Amino acid sequence: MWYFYSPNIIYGEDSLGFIENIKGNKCYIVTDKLIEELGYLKILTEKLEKFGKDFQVFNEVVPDPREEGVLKARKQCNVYSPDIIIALGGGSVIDTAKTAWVLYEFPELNIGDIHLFRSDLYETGKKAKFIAIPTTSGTGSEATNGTIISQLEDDIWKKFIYAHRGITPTYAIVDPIFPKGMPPQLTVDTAFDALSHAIEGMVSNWKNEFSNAMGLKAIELIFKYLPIVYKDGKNMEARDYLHQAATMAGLAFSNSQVHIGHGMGHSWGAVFHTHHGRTVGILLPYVSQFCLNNPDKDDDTLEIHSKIAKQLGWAKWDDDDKKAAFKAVDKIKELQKKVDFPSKLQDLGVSKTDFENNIEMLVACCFQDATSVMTPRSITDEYYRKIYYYAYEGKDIDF
Amino acid sequence: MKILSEEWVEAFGKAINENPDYKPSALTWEGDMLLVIEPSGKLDHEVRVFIGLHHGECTGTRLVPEGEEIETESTMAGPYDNFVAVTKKEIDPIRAIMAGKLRLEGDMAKLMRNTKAALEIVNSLGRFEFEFL
Repeated sequence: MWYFYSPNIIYGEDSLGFIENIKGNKCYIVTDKLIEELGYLKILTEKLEKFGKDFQVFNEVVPDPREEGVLKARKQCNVYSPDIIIALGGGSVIDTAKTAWVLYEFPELNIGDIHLFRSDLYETGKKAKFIAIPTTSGTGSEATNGTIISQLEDDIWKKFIYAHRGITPTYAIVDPIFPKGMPPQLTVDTAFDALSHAIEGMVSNWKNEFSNAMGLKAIELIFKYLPIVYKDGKNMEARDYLHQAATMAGLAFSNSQVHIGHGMGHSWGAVFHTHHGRTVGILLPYVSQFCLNNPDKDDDTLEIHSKIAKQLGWAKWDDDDKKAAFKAVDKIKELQKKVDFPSKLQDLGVSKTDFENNIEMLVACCFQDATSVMTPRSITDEYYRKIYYYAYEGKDIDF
Repeated sequence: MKILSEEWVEAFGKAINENPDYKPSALTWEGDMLLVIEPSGKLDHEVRVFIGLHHGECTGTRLVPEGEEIETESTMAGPYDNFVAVTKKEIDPIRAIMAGKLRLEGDMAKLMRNTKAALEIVNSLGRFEFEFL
């Protein structure tokens, strides 16, 4: 028995207008100040006014959202009693809203009580529907059953994943009107987050045919449309496909899980506060090489990468699997170059001294990340250390 | 050596400590665990196994006699056949819990931060030879 959970997805131009059909009149909007300044909040509130829906706005979400923001939003929900909660923003906004939604539905719970193994969370949504409207094309959180919230532990804001299939958003509205204003660098950084979701999700220990279908299509769309959007951010057709790809990648990994690329990225982000998408995008070829070098012959990672390369036309159908699989890694590196994406962790502006002073903390954080058990190749502290060093220096993984 | 024998329980604890991947992944783990193996298949009575765990070390293992009251930070319970399937790696342990084949109780926030350590406890069973019932 396995599962494929998905929100109801409304996508393409003018999909925001679908809100008219969603029952409920009191909307609690979670967003951030940048979204408000960009005028996106106004686009949403004008629609709500037009449809005769009341709303209250919480605009205090910050990057790498912390527990306090979630608890404040929950408190406001308890007073306002919305029947619709709307997240308008990137991953931080959606994760804050999603977590607040769960805590509003279950007032007796704390954040730490949200975990995979409880049955009551399947009932989430009795008080309010949750609509996630992504404004970036990368996080995938609009389609996932997980949320990442930072909590202070050992003097560091560690990122912890809270997941349950019951907390999948009720609706994901994937309207390209929102990401069209993203600057090129943010477009590229978030797209590499999506690409990492798709590729890691296709080889993780919980991969399955449903998630693979989403992952493969997402990879195809990202490789086709990211270079176009990078050159011409106003190309709405390409924006639309890239936005859809991010949601597909979210569906892929939400139903299969990501693995060590994300775990290492979360740890790096917690210590050095670098952009999540840029960090996991840099790590992607290195963790792929690490998995492809697995000496365990029962592992099918090589065949999966080979199939990706062959299905997307990067390798010939009669190429041997090893050659085709590493071609897929080469293509990731090519895409990085094409859109001026950094290729090593050093490029994130972290000095060698800072990196080396924190390496043990990074490794310890990796083990506390649930993704550490999802990698197709078993990971050890020594491997984590070596992958960080190789990725910092830009060396191909040879172990 | 037969599974669930005193000899097996002792070897299990030793295998955890000798598993090089366990210690680094369990440095923050505090709190003992109880395995409750329920009758099914070839097992006709409940067996409880105590596993002492502290900061990457297994501090001891023992069979818990019937009737003894014991409190541990976490408990993993389920039918014998399902434990066998996990031990033989026919089912991923976390998927087994999600599917209700095994039940995990305790401070879940803490356990979720130690999933790798929990997996390595299970993997330790593959580090020594024994017979199933």
